Amino acid sequence: MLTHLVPAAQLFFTIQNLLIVSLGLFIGITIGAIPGLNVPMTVALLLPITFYMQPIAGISLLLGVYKGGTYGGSISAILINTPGAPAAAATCMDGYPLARQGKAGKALRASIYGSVIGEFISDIVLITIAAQIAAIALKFGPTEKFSLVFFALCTIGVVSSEDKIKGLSAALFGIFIRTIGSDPITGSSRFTFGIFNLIGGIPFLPHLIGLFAVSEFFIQIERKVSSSKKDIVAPVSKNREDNIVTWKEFKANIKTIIRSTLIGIGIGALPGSGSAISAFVSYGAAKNSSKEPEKFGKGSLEGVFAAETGNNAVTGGALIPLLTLGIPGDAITAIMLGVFLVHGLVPGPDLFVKSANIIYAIFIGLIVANILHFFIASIGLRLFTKLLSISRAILFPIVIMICVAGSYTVNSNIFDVYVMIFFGVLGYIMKKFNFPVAPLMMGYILGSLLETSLVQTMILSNGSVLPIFTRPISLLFVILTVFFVIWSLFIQRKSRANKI
Amino acid sequence: MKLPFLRHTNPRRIIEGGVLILLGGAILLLIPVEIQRISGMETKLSPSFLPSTVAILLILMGLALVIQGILPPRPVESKSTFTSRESTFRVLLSIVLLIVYSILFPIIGFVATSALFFFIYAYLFGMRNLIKMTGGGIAASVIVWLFFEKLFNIPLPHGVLF
Amino acid sequence: MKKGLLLLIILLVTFGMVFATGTAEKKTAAPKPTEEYPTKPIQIIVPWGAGGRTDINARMFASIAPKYLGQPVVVINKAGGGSVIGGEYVAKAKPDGYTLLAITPGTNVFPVIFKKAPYGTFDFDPIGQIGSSTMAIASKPDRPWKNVKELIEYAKKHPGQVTYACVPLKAPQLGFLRWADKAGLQFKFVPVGNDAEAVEAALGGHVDIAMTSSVATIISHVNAKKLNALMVFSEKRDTHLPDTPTAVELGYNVVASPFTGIAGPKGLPPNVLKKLRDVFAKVMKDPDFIKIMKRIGESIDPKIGDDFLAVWKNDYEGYSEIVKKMGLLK
Repeated sequence: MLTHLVPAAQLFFTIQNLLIVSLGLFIGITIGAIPGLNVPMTVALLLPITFYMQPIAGISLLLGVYKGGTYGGSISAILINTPGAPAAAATCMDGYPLARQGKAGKALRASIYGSVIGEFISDIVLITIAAQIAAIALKFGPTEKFSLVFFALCTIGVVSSEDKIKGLSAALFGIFIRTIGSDPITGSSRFTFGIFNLIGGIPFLPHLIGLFAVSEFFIQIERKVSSSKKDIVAPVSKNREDNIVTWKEFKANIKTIIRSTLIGIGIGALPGSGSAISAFVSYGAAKNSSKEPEKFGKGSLEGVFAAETGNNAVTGGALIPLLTLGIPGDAITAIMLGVFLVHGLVPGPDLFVKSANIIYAIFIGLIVANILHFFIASIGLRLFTKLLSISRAILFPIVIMICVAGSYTVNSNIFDVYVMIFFGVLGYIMKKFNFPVAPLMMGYILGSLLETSLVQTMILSNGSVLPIFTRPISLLFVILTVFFVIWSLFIQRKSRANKI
Repeated sequence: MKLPFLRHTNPRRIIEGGVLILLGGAILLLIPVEIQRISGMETKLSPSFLPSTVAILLILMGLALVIQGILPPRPVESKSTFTSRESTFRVLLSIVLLIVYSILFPIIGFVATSALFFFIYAYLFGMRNLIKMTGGGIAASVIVWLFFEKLFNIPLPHGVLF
Repeated sequence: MKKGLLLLIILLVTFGMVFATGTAEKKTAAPKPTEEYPTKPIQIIVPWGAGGRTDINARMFASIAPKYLGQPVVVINKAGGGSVIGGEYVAKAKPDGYTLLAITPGTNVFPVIFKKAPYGTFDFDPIGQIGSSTMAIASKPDRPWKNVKELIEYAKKHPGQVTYACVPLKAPQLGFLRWADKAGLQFKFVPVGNDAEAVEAALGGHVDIAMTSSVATIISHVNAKKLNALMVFSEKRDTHLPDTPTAVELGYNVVASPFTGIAGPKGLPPNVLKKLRDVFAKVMKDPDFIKIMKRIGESIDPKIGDDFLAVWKNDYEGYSEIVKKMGLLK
């Protein structure tokens, strides 16, 4: 490894590469932060440009966008309760309440620190022990995946609301929404009502934009701005304490950060899962082991750290199966696979032998991107907090305009805009009745994996579901699920007793 | 005079539970009509397995909510989140407007429609500064258009106007 | 008073709508015959999301074509309905040569066979095939077979026990079934979402065989001896796997390799069609194009006009037959 470092560093450290990584981060953060625009589409659109660049420059650009985009979603999640990316849905739960308390600066900084540290550690893991982790990830067959998804869904349903029944119901409804369209196995149509547009299922991005951004727009329009004084989303506290993360606060969260990073790497390394799951599982784990679980959902800094570290730690983790096995873990890494191929880098076991110099140059790029990420995000923070001083009467009409344009342009299909409106209204009604919307999204994301992994398990075991309880890794997740649900009921009861 | 156990009833929770039960029931009713069966594929699990399971679990969740609504101890307080009748009207109106917006922009053109609806929405929010309302709308919609069409090369509909 | 103003706005909007629909109809009234072509940018509709294989191929084509066409080529993703939405859009578009389709069997063969498309396989005018990806089957080296002959023997002794993972109801599964049917073998099918998942399941030892629609997903594992490539389903051996036999060589007449190409709506004027096919042929010989396609593991195999049509025909008939035979369609 060391023999490759010097030539790799020479390859990477050019002014051009540094500028390109910064540009990628900048684009990623901006796109991630604007509800209605999305990172996978941006990566796809930048793709043809990268074909004509040097391999290191092209790949670094996309990695920058990937990292920046995964982080950027948290900005709008904190400031206007609208996650710019699915991964940031967990960040809303505590980030927005903090912003409402005037502590937007604190939440945003926590999100930067969490993201950068999570990324950094996961990159180091990628560079040092990728092959070993990939070997473990391959042990996850259909049965293990089913138990993991089941565990994740229960966690999300339970932690995202005080009211666990409502959280679980929302997750169930999300699974139902996912069943609309063609069944992934037999191809038979389900609940399509004869509409051709529904054969491929409910499109994801319009569903996401509607559920979070449009529903928030309806919430906002309930309250008029007064014409006499400026009505803004959330006031920013003048108190310096409220705009920074103190060393004491940081120290108190180190455990959460490490735990979330490990969860993020683990989940990232399993193809087909992704950063949103990691954010929620980290959040749930943090809540269950916190000294102040009752603060979660009301502006807990720990919650922001857990969610943001958890989702950004996935970026390094997701590169593990991509580079070592050629198997992409999510939509963005799937597109990145194309870039590697275009530059003659065939991901897989022999990549590290054949193109070692380029790969190590890319690794150096990852680490450099982390450092740049910290600075670019810190500069951006000042800019983004300014958003809060814009009148709501201007800010939200702009948001809705971008939502319409964003939903339309994903597939150039007007049907998608109707889907967005439908989920906007649904999200609004759910919020009014205190049903959390995040589990619905997660139910949608995980629904098809839940179904296919169960079917695969049953086919492989000739119709039996026993392997779920007999295979060790799978059994572990089943036990974890039971433990998790009981434990969170227990801490809820305890905290309620404390209040009385 | 109320019966003693009714003192605890939480009608809102019962309604919410009822809606979930209805939802689950509706899914169950739709399954035979809306799930097409393709023969010849042996999968061990029929396409209607997951939807029916979800529907039954939804009904159970609904029942749990109803029971919680009737029986003491009272569960987590549901905050009264509904505001005045006027804001409900404003929300309903903005939903209708959003539908009109999405029908209109492919016909008239994205930029013109967006500027118009920016104006209307800003007005609904209570903004009365005409310069900000028109200027802001035109500026924002032109920027969005530039972003998508010129930077990313994804066309937005232009319709008859722009 | 406030409500009055709101009402006024709604009225205005409604008027605007009526006015707009009226003028819009007038505008599309008289199409004039195209003498010179092309005079404005050409759109290629990709009926899948951005970043997929079809999308990348179309974007590569679109980046080279303007050189010979003299007009920009814009790629638009119109996904939805399992590519039927984009397919329908082009099938029903005005045949003037300004709306083209990045076509794969996923758009004009499978949805048609499964009666999920409001158009037919031949409702498009073929321009040309860019290439086809080589479908292949592979196993982990620890299985009791080292090559396809041993696999056949083993499967004969253990009918319905050897498992294979692939994408259901598309080229991989249907291609595999065509072969298994001709060889008189029975396997156990494990459906997965995409090629990568199939490879992952085989690498992890969860299934016996991975069937992928492109050798690109297995080459690296084959080189590292983590997988054995057993057989390919293309006409000729794949350049990346020179030691792996084709199904045809072994005596099974199954050629199933999903094509990627460009087509237009049916009824393109002869001069437009000629121009497009000429340009297509030139792009296929462009050194830049060849270089970049090689690197992404796509084999360029240009088939222009009627030759491309013959590919559709072969696919449509071959797959229809197996779907009927297996009773996959009610």
